[in-house]
Amino acid sequence: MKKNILILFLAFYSALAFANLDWGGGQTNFTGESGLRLDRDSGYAVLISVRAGQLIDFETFVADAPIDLVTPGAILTDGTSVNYVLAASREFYSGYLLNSAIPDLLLDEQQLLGIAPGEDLYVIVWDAQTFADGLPTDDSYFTVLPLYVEGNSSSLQAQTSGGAVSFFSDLVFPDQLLESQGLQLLAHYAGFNTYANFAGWVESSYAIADGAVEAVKYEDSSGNGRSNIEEYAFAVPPTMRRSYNTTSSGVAGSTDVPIPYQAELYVQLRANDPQLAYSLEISNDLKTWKRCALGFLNNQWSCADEAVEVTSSVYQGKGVWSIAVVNHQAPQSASFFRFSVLENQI
Amino acid sequence: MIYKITVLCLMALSSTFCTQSSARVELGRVGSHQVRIADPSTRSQLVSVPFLKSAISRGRLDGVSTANFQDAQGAFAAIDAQDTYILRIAEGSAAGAWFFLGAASANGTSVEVLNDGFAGMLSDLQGNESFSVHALYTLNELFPEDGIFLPAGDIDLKAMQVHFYDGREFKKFWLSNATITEHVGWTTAEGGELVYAGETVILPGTSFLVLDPRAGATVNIRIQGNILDAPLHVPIYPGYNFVSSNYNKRFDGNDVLMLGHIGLKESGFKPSDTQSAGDRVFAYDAATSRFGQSFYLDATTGEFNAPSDFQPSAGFIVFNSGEAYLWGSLR
Repeated sequence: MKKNILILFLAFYSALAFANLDWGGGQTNFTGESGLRLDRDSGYAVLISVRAGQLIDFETFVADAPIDLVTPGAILTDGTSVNYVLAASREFYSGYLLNSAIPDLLLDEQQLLGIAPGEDLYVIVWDAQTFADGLPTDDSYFTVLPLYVEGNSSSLQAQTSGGAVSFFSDLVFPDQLLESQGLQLLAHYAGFNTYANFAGWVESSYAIADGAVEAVKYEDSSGNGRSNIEEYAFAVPPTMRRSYNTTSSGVAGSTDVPIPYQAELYVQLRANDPQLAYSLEISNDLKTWKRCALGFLNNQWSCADEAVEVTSSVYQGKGVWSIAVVNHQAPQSASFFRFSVLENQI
Repeated sequence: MIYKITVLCLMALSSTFCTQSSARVELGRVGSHQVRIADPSTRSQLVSVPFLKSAISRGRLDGVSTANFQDAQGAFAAIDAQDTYILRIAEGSAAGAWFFLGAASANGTSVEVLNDGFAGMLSDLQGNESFSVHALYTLNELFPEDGIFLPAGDIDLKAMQVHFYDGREFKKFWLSNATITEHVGWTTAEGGELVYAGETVILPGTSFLVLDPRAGATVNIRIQGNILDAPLHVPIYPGYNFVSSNYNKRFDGNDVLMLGHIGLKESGFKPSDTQSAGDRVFAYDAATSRFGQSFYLDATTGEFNAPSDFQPSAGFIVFNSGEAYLWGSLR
């Protein structure tokens, strides 16, 4: 009985075992946004594992903080997808991220990071010359590549598990066929906001002193007729266009009748400040208003009211999204719309 | 078996040279060993240098202080600043101990000792032991770096590589063709730069991984050196140690390289009751680049659990679950 327990224990241990990870860029030559090959000053590589779901779309992902994107140990969550930042390195030489120059990710380090078996591995290569203050910004360039054992892309993607316990390393790098290609960093990380809140925005925009942030919230520092909080919450004022239905009546000699039409609203909202709660309000008489909360999930805006459709969500950078909203309600003799924002106190 | 024949032939050759006088004096034995560093069926080889270089000087110590050796005959005069040297104690209770040497005095009568305690303790010496001084092999001596015999590459993965285990991780060297470095030859990353590393010394009794990027390549190198006449200590630190045996003229009999006869269990290798606990010896499986068969010293029988031998130049791994000790291949 004792032996059985021991065997079971060993089997369990084996299932959770890893090998060291010898990771890097393999034979791929990386070129930055400037067209120059990455080096230790301009290159920054991050090893990522997918704990749950799938690889996060880093072109639109909004990290809690930019530093999370490049810090080993950070956990990135986007919906049901959970990605771990396992390691980072600047060991770029003439465009190559040399495996031999990067310290292996050792077993004990993996255990400290809480890595589980079977997590797919990727490398994100950043152009650090496009960082601001040493961190990714809206204008940072990067590329994401899956890693394979010895670069063999015809096999399964490399994962965080070596089967048997071993302190020897699994050699993982991108598809070895990328060897002779000068890889341009074309992806544009858009999920970053320069300003995490109103205070950051107003201090940067108008050189407001720390203690005066609340006081200037409803002032018009730019003199454009809009309060500071309004400018922050709505990058530009809402606009409306009518979308006419030009279908002919079918009667000879008749003219096109511009009905029914739909009111299409355009507004720019900030998606990355959890203190801001947006609503669209609709009225037929300017007295009674029906409120429809606007939500942001998985890089899409939506409205709680089924009759109101957010027809497009386009990221504009710095945390701001431009959205188009269509009201499908039967047209009334008069329709009025307004957007509001509630600043929650967290 | 081929290796054994080679050694026996060399020993016979040496004996022939030394039988010309009636008072037989042996001046030392040298040997040559062919080491396979690339094989079509494997990705890497765990190898070692089974010799020391021939001694540049020999003598008997005239004194030992806290940080240097003295020899009134000036035996240290041949030491230059270009190479790395060790002083090996050849006899007495401390036989097998060795010490890194630093700068020698101008007349060669004293030499600085570095890293006391690495493979011997100065405090264990009487101060009158016989010794020999050896330069250590370097990477560029063993592995030609002109890119003709061994593949040099633009980057590490396209080049010959050598990995040394430093007790925690592998330190990696590769053969650069100067495409991304300013030099041709052995290269490693150091402080954010790719530096020339051909002068890296290879410590006695250590084994290391050699990786050839070419599929199907077969490469043998031949190493020459001195066959020792005394033990040579190999430090075994807590954790994993990449080690190997050196040729020694005391090798005698068919079982001299068997695991139970190479001095491990007499040096500090701890017995245990099971395969999974305590000290262990691992063979290297070149086919998988992983541990191969493992062995433990059975606490009940006092013998290793399975027979195995490790030829000089074939590395193996010792896992030490306790305190550091010095392994002497002969006791």
